[in-house]
Amino acid sequence: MGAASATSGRDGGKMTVPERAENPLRVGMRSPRKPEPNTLVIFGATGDLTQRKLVPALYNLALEGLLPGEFAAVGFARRPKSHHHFRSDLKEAAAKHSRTRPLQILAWDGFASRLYYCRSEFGDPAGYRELAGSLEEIESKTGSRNRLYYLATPPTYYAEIAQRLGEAGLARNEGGWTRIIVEKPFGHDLASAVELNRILHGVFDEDQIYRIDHYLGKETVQNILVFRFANGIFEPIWNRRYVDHVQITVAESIGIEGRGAYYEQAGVLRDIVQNHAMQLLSLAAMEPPATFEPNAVRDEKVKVLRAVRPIRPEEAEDSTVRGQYQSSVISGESIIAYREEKDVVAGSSTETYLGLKLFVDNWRWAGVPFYIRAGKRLPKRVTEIAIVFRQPPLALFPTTDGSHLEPNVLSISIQPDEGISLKFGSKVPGPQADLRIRPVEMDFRYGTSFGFAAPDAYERLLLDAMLGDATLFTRRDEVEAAWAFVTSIIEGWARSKPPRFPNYEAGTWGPDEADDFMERDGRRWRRP
Amino acid sequence: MAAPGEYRAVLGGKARPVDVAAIEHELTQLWKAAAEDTLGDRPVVRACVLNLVAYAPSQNVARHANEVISQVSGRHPSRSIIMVAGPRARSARPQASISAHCEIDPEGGRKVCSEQITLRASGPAVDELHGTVLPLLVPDLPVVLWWHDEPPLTGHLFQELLEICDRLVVDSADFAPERAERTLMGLQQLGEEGSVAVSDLNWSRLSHWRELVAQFFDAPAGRQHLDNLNRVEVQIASRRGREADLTEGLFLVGWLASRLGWVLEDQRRSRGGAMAFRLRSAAGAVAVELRPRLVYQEEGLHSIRLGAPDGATFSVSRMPDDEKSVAVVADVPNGGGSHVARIDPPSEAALLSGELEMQGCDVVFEEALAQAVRFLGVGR
Repeated sequence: MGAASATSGRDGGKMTVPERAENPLRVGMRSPRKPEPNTLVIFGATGDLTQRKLVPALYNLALEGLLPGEFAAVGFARRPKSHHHFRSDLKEAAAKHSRTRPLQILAWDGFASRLYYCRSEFGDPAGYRELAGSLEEIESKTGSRNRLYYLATPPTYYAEIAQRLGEAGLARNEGGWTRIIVEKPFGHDLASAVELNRILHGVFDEDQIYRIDHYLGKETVQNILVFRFANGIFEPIWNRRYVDHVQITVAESIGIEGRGAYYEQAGVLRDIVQNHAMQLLSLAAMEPPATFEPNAVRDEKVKVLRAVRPIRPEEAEDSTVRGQYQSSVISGESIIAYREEKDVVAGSSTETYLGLKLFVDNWRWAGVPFYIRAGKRLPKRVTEIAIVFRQPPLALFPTTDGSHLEPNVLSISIQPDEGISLKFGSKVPGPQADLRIRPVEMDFRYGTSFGFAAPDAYERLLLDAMLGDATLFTRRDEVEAAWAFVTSIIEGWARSKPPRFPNYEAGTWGPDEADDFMERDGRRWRRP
Repeated sequence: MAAPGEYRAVLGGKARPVDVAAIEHELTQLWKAAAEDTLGDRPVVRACVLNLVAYAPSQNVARHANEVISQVSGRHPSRSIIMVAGPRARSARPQASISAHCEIDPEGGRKVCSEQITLRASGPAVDELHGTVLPLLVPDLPVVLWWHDEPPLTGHLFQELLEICDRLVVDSADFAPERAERTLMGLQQLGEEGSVAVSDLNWSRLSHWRELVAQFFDAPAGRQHLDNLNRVEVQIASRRGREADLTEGLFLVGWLASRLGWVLEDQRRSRGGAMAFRLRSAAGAVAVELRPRLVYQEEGLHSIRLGAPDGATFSVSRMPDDEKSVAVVADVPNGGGSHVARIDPPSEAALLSGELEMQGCDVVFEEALAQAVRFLGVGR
């Protein structure tokens, strides 16, 4: 992002080529910029994330020629494995999970020849000494000392790994850059997030830390900013004067996929709302940044999070609605209740559904409610931001059945069908004297307009981290502001009576209380 | 109106001859039939982001252009209009046909189609094709003119089409050597006038090379040598008995000169199709040499080698045993490194696709072109 451009419009005359490119030969380069040669160290290299996401992403980057020539990767994990065994496992994973198939053997072999494995416990200093030795050896071949660490372990190891890296002298080096990517969840409440930040900052500077939220790597999420700030017609109506309310939906049709132990500690509030939903909120509500530089964008996002009116613990019950799914049969398949999932406590009060109302107390959004809905085992997988506009001031066209005209809705669909649609009223064709109006949708779909598949979010984010572009990563103050908001709700729930769970059938749009929650405000949830 | 089955054939890629005056009507009927979903089991979506007007000097070239357009239509759905110049006058009026390029969208389900109009004319009617093209352009969308031949800078049709297009795409690799200099000068003037953005696929072919050269200077260890470069040697591969086309090499040196602020000091030509001249940077003189190298397979750029006064050199050169790979070597005092990179020649569709993504002028190309024209012209 922020790459120097050397094109100009015909009407605007030729622009001056920007001076800020450090390497003048980079100006106007059309091919995506390749990172400097570097070595990626993946902690937790035998885990699910590495197999399903990281290695397929790296392979696709290599396939498209976006990795530097002297790129190497080291897997660091507890299981004993040879380099050969490690490569063979990853080849199988890439073949299964890559977005481009079949695996191109020549490309894979070239990529795999630079994969190495280092076995160690995450807390064992000897393992880090061995890692340092491996890096020295690899770097003597590649000639580059740039290092990128990726924490793909369970979060309980993050602090320990960072500290061990620091002790082994691996957090900085004179001959190149050193960066660390930290996966979500980043803490489990405000205090733990602050503590993790404190520990990381004891070893790394903030500009070395890349907190990843893979939602930000999705094309449509990035397109929210383009849509809002590169088009002149939307921004003037993107405020309290024209917007009635905003609905953010992050729905999943799957259950917890065997992650009962994790989910019991998290719930949908920590798993989805604190990170993905709050990121979507900040992008939808932020002010235009002064420039498209990482800190300028993140400054505006964090201003939104700071402007979110806190929900005090005693307000938590009134401002939220919780749910937990019960068993059901969907398309002939029996779905077990959350409480029957593996590693879930029999009488668990962990929420798998959350409806939430919040306000952004700033000049633009004062009085406009933002409704967030997230859950597991909902009817479909869909993530969207829907801007629901106010009704016209005067009902010029009375409806024959006494119903109201549908409001205009601008919906930004993040997944699975990435696109933007606008709903508006149109006259039903016909000679009837009583004019009939029906809502119609004007659709823009990425797939049909551009005709090619977008890269996976991890490809984009790995590349950005190697390039040192932190725009799509979460800064310390963003994480803490989001946790501050969420932690107050968690405290409020802890003081309330346990909810009567389960309260919605798997495969439905949540509990009845969620509909009541909206009806109290004279509104209803969209059916995405 | 044609039967739905005939429109189904059009969406399946078959051309349907139509009357010139009825082209727009026929296209409307085509999309209406598609919208009514009478054409098969998949919904059809019409998509269009630009007007792509192509000129082909013969039926063979038109077939090739059609193939390339079908490959780019997935990424750049457009209304494409191919003008084909025929060998002899069969009719005073152009002959027209419509067809469509369709792809199943990657999210599945829909068939995304873009439309193509082919206009065939012979003799004097060719020069008047712009009159047929103009009303067929989709309003308010950019117009790209892809001239699949050496552009006749003063030709009537070419001039008329320049008036309506936003971007002109040519391929200087197709230019006859004896006219290349004059045509490149003409293109440079067009770019300078600013009324149309100019693209040259021959320049786009250099992207890999430029990327590899730029990479040398990304890291501080290489960057410190960039301002002190004093030598550029470029080798162009050519086959026995054929004159080496130095255009790519001139573009590459022109790019370095324009980015690094080098100015032409003098020029001399040497024997054997080689060219040598001197530029001046802020640090001093830069000796440039372009020479042909006899090869048996791939023509085009063979190597580039940059040198600095302290002995540092940076080179990219094709591997002797695999011409699709290059050795990338940085040899600097107390360091350096080397690796082999794949440098597959991009397809014409990939090159055209890259140009269709551009909006506005490519200032870097235009400045490199201006330098290349200077190198060609001085000393004559």
